[in-house]
This record gives sequence, C-alpha cells and structure tokens, in this order.
Amino acid sequence: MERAELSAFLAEQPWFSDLSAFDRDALSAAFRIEDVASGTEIISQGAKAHHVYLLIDGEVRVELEKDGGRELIRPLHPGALFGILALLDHRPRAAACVATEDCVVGMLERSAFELLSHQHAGIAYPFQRALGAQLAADFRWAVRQIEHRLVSVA
Amino acid sequence: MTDSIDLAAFEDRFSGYLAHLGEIDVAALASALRTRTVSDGDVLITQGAGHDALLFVDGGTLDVTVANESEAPHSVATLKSGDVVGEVGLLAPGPATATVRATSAGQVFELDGKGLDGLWREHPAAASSLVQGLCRVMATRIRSVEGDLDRLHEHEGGFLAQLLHRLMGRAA
Repeated sequence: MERAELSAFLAEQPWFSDLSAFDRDALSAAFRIEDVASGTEIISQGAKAHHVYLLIDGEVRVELEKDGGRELIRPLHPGALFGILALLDHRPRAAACVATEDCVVGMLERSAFELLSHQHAGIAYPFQRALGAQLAADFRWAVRQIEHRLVSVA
Repeated sequence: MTDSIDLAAFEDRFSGYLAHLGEIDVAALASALRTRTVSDGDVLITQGAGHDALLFVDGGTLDVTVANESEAPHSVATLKSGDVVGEVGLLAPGPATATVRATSAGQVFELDGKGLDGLWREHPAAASSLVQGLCRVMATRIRSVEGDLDRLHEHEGGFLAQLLHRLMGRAA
C-alpha cells in the first residue's frame, strides 16, 4: 500500500475525516505500513510494547492465554486501533493479536506516538479521540461480555 | 461560565484528573464547563438513554443505580464531591449503563461532546491533554477488568454479578 492510499483510508475514518490534507499526510507518514500474512502473531501477550497498530485491511483476533490454551476475546476489523493499553501504561502486552487472514497494518512507534501526543496538537487531539473511542468501546464490549456470561450462568 | 468556578478550588478538588494539565489548560477547561445546580432527586444520567457528558461532582451526593432484566434497580456506587463520572460516554457516546440520581442538593460541572470539541477549537492543547488523561483512566480501568476476569475460572455467578454492577457503575 502506498502512503497516499493510507492517507485516503484515514480520510474515511471518523476521527480523521476532519483533518486537513496536510495533517493527514503527516499522520500517514508517521506509520510504517506492513503486509502481514494470515496466522502471524502481530502482538505477543506479555511482550514489551513498541508500537500501536492501525488495522487497514483484513481481520485480526485478540486472544488471551488461559489454562494453556487461547481464548478469543474479540475480532478486529479495518479502522480498529490496537495495542493501545501497553503504550499508555508502559506495562507488558495484555493480550495477543493474530492475523486471521492476510492483513495490512500501520505501525506507529512509541516515539512517534508520543511526539504526536505532545507536539502536534492538530493531529494529537483527533488521534487521542480515536484512541479514547477505541478504549471506551473495548470497555463497553467487556461489560457486554460479562453480561452475556452472567445470563449463561443464571 | 469560568466566573462561577473558583479555579483554585476546582484544581484542588479534582487534582487526580487535572494533575497532568497546566494552569492555563485548567482555566481553559473550566471555561468549557457548564455549571449545573442539582436538587435531591434530580436524574442526571438515565440508564439506557443516550449520554455523552463527563460530570465533575462539585458538591452534594449522587447515587449510581443499575437495573437489568432479572433484578430491580439497586445502588452500586455513591459519588461525592471530587468524583468524576461519564468518561466512557464522553469518549464513545452511547446508552448509559447506569442511572445517576442526586440524593442531596449540590452542583456538578458538565462537559459534553460539543463542549469538548469547543475546547479543542479554542484551546487545542488543553483538549488534547484532557483526552490523553481520559485515555489513561480508561486504560487503568480495562487493566482492572482483566485482573477481575482472571478470577473467573469457576464462572461463579455471584462474583460475575458483582463485577458487572461495578463496571456498569463506572461506565455510566
């Protein structure tokens, strides 16, 4: 994928659609674009965090190691940001993320993430709104999952 | 409504939330807040209804209640001066997961999505710092849920219910 295509992809995402073309190009330039083969473990649970990821194409599963196996937490679709938690709190990765089909992902290094957060207010706000929306959606999702499990236990 | 907010008291009361904001950012945030006087019995957030506001509780007490299909509404938390609620709704607007009702007269400062976008237009650095802080609050909360879920090996219903109520109270 070309950088111009990533910029066009960002223009379709809710939090980035209002960015100027200049800022969107700058944000696109901060990402490293990678093709990822199906089955690749993009993030390993417990690993040190170096990047936050944007899923551009394909599907990724968030999985949790449990009792020697893997439990599916949730599938992610294009537009999803993932790998956020460990970037924010500097703790090990909370879960694994595995490509379930051939994917294209954007990788944003910690240093670029922090630079965007602190020095480019024009990009930082929509980017942080996107991160916040993803985290809040993850939290709502966790509440719903527990609700479902509670119903199944009752 | 900056003139109705004592900035020093505001900064002191919500120091946990505002610690990462500079004085100028705190003043900017205060200028974007809507002051709301509440009376005993006033409902500020209704479970299931659309909700997109962060509430800073300046005075009085608020009861957070949760209801579901199998249980009558019951209290899961009490909010008092210095508490903040509504991060999830502000970051990802949607149906509230709990009802928040005043149980004594008081005052709250409210920041909804429009207010946050207005803050962004007028004071981008303040808006950005605030959202950055909210993201960290959410990250801490999600880590906490993971810790709780690790204890769910036996799928024990009572603990699940307790956890769900606590989460719904937080998500309000």
